[in-house]
Amino acid sequence: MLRIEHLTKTYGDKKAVDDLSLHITSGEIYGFIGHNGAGKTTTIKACCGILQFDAGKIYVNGTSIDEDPLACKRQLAYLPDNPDLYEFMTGIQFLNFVADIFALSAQVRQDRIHEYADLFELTDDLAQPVSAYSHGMKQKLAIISALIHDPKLVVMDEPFVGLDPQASHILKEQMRGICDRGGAIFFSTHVLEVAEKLCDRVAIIKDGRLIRSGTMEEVKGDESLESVFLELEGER
Amino acid sequence: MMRSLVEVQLRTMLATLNLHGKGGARPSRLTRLFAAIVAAYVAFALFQLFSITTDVLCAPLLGMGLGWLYFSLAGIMTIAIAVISSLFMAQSMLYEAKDNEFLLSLPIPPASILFSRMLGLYVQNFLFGGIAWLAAVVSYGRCVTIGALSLVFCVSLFFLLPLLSLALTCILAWVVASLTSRMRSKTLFTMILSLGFLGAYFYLFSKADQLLQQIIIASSSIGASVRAAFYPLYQMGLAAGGDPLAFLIFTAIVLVLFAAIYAVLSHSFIRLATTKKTTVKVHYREGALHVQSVGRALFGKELRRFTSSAVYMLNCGLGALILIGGSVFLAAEALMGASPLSVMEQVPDMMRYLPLVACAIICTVTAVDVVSAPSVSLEGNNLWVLQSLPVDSKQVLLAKLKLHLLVNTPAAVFAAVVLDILLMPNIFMAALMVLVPCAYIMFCGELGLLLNLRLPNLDWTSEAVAVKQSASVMAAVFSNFGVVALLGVLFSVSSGLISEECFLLMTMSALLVLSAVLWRVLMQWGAHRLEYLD
Repeated sequence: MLRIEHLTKTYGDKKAVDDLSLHITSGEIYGFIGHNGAGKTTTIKACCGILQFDAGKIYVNGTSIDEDPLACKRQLAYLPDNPDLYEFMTGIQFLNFVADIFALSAQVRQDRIHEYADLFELTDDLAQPVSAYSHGMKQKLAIISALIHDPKLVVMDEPFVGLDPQASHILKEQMRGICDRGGAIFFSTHVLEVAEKLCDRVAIIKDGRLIRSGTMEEVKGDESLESVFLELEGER
Repeated sequence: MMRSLVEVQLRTMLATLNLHGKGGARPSRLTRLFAAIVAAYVAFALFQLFSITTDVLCAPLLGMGLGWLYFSLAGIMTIAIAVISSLFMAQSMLYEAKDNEFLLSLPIPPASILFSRMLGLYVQNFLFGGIAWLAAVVSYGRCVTIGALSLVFCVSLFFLLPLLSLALTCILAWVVASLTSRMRSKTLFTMILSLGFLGAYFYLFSKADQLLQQIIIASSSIGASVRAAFYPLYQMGLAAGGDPLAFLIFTAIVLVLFAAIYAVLSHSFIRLATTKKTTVKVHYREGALHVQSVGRALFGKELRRFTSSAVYMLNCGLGALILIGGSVFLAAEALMGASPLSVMEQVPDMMRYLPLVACAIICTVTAVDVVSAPSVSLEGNNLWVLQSLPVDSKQVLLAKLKLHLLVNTPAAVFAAVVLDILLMPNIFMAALMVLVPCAYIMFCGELGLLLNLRLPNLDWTSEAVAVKQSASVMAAVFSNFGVVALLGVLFSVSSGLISEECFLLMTMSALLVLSAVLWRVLMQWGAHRLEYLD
């Protein structure tokens, strides 16, 4: 579903991502772990076609993000680490705008907005301007906008930040549901307990370079993900 | 601590000019020179504008022995200019600043935070009001030799008058903030208030001659009224003329008033700065959702962005309002039997050039409506939305350009048609009077977009910064004016060689060719730039 081949991105003299290769297959929740500034957000943005990279290839369901970014974006959804949404719109206006972009029919958008807004308990607030939303509400709205076009691939940057426990639980269920329907999830997180319980595969990145990847069992063995991560982070 | 706070405040004010290069690099010498030229030009233009009023008032009032009234009226003008120019800034700086809560969480007395903010406002009051006061003092100096005491007091008043206007600004800003905090349609209120100020300004400006004459004729009774009702201004007028006692009285009044307002605001600063605005919650009721094409959805988003922001509408739609208002005024005058353009007949050959001048005026007025120039910057932190959605950047740019055309073109066409009817040129000229402004608006829209893509400011903390003070907006306004000025020069050079119709036809052709070139650059470089703008 998502194939990253030898991705390299440089900012000035610093290599933010250095020859990174990953393969996320359908039905897989793939966790992406690393310290602050390790290159996670850079990788994620490059995968969504909003950041130019210097070298390498990224394929979304077999289509190169370089060559046909629009075809790739039609299949994926991106959730940034900070849900800055249009504050001059109401929640429903924002969702309808996204539905227009994905050319969803009136019935489909109506049904999906109803379903997800109810699920995340946001229905009552949809007529409110986004500027009146709390951080968590904006995060929920961003999640709903990401899900309403039924994406095959969801790329998320720290999706659980700001969510209440119930919304986090619902999001985890949705992530599993997407994978069960043949989709894939690629997400970064600092919450290692969540990654350990949720992910089928995990990759650890340090200073832009991939230092370990594989199934959860391959990466952590008998240890906890946290101790493996700290051990790898401590290595020079 | 206070020094750090003041430093941060002043740095913030300078940062809004957005002169820094990428990554906060020091602005280039050329950028600083450009900024200095623009600032000097604006200051000089304002000085000239105020001098018109002070020159008219000065000699007659001094001749009647009412020098104090001259300075009192100049003081009123200074204070009014300073208050109007800093009112909305005071509201956002004092009561709505994003870092209020952060600063209040630090071990800093609220009074110190307030002081640093008021100092920033004082500088703004000083800059705007100071120019008006300077014009008054210069006009005075042209009429009489300024005595040593008078000069000292006039210079001192440079610093005292902004303090008085600052005190008034703070009170008014508090009133506006209190009113708008309970309103649902804050944008509408701000628009009406601003247009009210603007309408009053234009009314006074249009009646300036009559008003100044009336002031001069009725100077004795006005003087008596000022003395009775505005005692501090009476003392200020005497002080500027060199009266030490009056200076002491006025200084004491200003300091006491300022101290009282500072004390009241300090006392209530935490409550004012942290009180959450009360809004009535609207419950969502499911209904049929409106389905639109991608193009319409993008344009709808741009339109919603424009109409949701009083700052955006006022700064980038004012030209259209002036064109419509002016045209309605001219049409109404004509319908009532007056001949609004007859004054032009007194200028030799003017009637011949009038269609051309009308065309230039329409273009000049639309030049300030740079709707497209801040439109990319206004995406700010939301830019990821468009970048991550499967939408062609060309369509995004087209939507922004369409908004520019929508705001400007109908007003320009309306104005051109009204002028066509009033001037009754030949049919060819009449058509050109409509078409040339349309071509100019298209050119300006594309140029503004390109400038904004080249000089984006996505890190703004207040949209006023993106709309009013960003480099792309200033560059767009000056480029637009520059094009009209260049055309004026070209016409005067070619005068006699080609007819007015021929000149306008060539102008339109040139604008269309340039627009086509800019369109190509927009659709290639611009679209790619927007896709990966960070």
